[in-house]
Amino acid sequence: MLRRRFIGAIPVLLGISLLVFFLMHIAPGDPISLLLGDDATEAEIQRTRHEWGLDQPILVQYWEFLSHAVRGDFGKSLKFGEPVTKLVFERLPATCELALSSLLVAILISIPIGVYSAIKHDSLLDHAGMGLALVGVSLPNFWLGIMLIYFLGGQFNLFPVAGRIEYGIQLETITRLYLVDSLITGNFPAFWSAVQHLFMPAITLGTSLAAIVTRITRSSILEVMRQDYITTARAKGLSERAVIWRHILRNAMITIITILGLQLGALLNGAVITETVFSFPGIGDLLIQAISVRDYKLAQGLIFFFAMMYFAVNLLVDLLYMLVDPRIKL
Amino acid sequence: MAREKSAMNRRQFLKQSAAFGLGSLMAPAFARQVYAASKDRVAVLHSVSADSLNPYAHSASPTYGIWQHILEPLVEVDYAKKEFYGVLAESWEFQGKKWVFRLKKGIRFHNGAAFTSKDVIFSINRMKTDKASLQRSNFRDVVEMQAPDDHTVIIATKTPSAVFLDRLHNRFMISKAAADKYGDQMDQHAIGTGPYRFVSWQRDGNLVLTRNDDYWGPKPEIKEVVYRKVGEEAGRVAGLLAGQGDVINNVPVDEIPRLESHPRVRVEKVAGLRMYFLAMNCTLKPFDNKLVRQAVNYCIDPQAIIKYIYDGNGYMVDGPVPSHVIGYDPNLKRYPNDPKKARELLAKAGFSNGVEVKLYFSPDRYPKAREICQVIADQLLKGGIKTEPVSQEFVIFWGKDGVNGGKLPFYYVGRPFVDTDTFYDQYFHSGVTKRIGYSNAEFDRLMKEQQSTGDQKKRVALLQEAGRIVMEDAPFVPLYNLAEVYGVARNVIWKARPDEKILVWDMKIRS
Repeated sequence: MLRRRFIGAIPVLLGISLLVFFLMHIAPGDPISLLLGDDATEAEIQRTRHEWGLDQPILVQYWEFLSHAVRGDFGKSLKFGEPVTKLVFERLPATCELALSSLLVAILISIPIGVYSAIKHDSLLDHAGMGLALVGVSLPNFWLGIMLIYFLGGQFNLFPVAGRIEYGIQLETITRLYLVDSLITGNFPAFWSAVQHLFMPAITLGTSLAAIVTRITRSSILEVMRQDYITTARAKGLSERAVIWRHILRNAMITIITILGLQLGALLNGAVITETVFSFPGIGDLLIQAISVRDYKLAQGLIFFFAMMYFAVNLLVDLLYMLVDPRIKL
Repeated sequence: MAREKSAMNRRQFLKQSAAFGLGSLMAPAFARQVYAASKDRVAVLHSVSADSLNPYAHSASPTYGIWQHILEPLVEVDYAKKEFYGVLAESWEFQGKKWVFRLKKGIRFHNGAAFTSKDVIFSINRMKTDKASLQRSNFRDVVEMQAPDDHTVIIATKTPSAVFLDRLHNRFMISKAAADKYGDQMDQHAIGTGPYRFVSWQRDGNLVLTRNDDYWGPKPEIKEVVYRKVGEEAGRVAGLLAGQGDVINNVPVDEIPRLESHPRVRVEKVAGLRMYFLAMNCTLKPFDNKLVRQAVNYCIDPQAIIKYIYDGNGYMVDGPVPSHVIGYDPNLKRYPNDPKKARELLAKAGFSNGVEVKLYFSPDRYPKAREICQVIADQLLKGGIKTEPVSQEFVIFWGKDGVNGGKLPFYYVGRPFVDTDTFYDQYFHSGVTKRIGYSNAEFDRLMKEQQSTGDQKKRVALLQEAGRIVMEDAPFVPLYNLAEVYGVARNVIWKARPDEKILVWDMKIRS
């Protein structure tokens, strides 16, 4: 079954490559003039355009892109002058760390509020919780980010306004996931600095996800609570705590896990804006830079990479779903 | 006897103890250290960073400023005196198609190797031939380089190039010995002759430098420099106010009062090198008509823009070029603000019922461009020119379908320059760019002549003469130079430079 999924992915990825390539090239804009800046003379523009192969017919350029991409070579970035794959792998751990921390933030906020709201539904706290969720889902994350920078960064000086780690802190990188590396090497100052740097971006990115998950948690718990087996559990004389933990939450978890997994893809989207606001050097920030200067190869490589991540995450969620609920087959 | 019920049960006690313990553990860590700039370290929160460790893969002034801590040029500009002075070069001589540079002796690279003429030739060759180099165009006329001895370099050009020094400042010298030793990996070591040594760099993260205690020139006071990229304006301002950084650049004018009233920081301002102007493409209607171009000039009042949009943080250009550049002419004045005269000229040009134009601008590149173009449209309307401001993303605005393709009839733009030649050559000299489509044989002749005239006084006179032609033909409306605004910790003694470079060795710490 897995093989079918992988074979099915080939035309999807091919379609994405076509779409990404042509959309990037159709979009108006001229990377070469921008690259050369104020000093761009006509002769220099022509020469540089030729050197980067941008004067070739579009189909030739597409073939060049595709034939190299299948070998995992996305070419060199115009802006950074480095291979695209190197840049992606340099930045990927930062984005993964941010996405997973945001997921954690979302879980820590949403599950307790969701459970509490469901159990005490129609109470004042339930309405407050749901109101909060509505606010959370409505806040644009760039705005929330700037507010956090202004208050928690500027006014109260609780968290650093940008970057991944404090200057002056040496960290031996193994996985490039700073939290993991600092724990492996037992470097507590580096760990704490990485946590502080992650805090505001993770809150920014985690908030909208938390809002969605809170609502889902509440409704799925409410649904489970109405099931006969819950009434049975209560009739057996189980304590309320046992009913909630062992019966309600465990059954409601199936839906919640699925939603969390699926939202991991959305987190990658959100990372684009969040990383830019916090100058957090991940692939989202890189994508914005690539698109704004029309660094075709870098943007193509990144979007292609995003697509593959989506595919991988979806596959993972399906596998997880199968594990949680044996009735489901791929 | 019944036991008295405690106010707190065991579970609650454990929970609260754990929370208290964790809180007291975390509290000191949360109270972040506030860095007052010190002789040990200054942190610059910068809007840009070095995109790579290739010292030539960029061409932006703030980035030159970062690199200049590690690498040094042959010459640099003295903005007050409007002349060049030697950094690694002791002296130079212009000999028609040749420039002869004599290098300072006793200078060593960070790796201990002596700085010689071979390093100069190696560096210029790399700037010319490295595919990633964005500084090639400066050497387009160089045909040959020779090193007759260790401290003399002869650079031959296709045609006499009196403006070569202007092309040469910001061109940094790297070590040939390091290249021989490290090969492809040389950039990872970033070895130069500068007052600071390279320590570490993360792309879009921190660049850390430490003082070069063997520096050949005056030793900097500050030991360590950290450049941290903070792209977001709000982030830079918040970081400075919180003490997470000591110097920030590109402070928006609206934030100046907040910074000025803060006990820890102050605002540092200087007239920037970038001159803003309105460009009119002489090959496109209605700007192919000189009278229309002059009419536009008569409509514009830059003082109003400076006062109302920039809160006074700008400096009007009173002729074709600002007073602080080489080639300025105190006797050549801009068109006065006279909308009535503009209407007369339009009528003479056959537009007695007025004319409609589009004014292109790029809000992501130039500060407050949208507001400015609204004001300009209003000023033009008074002279009978109905203007529609059109906003474009910079990558489109500046590209082949925009300014550099010669496709925009009328646009708002800025260009930094020290020598008038740079500006005139790129915008008005026939065939150099398509930006403005202006062509005047006499102007071209004067430009060619000044570019090959070694006598600086004579060269300035030729530039002034060229200025009179271009003012009469009016393919542009000079506007202003804006203030470069920095936020600086109060205990940092530092004067901002007009060229957007933040040079930490210029800083002193008030104890």
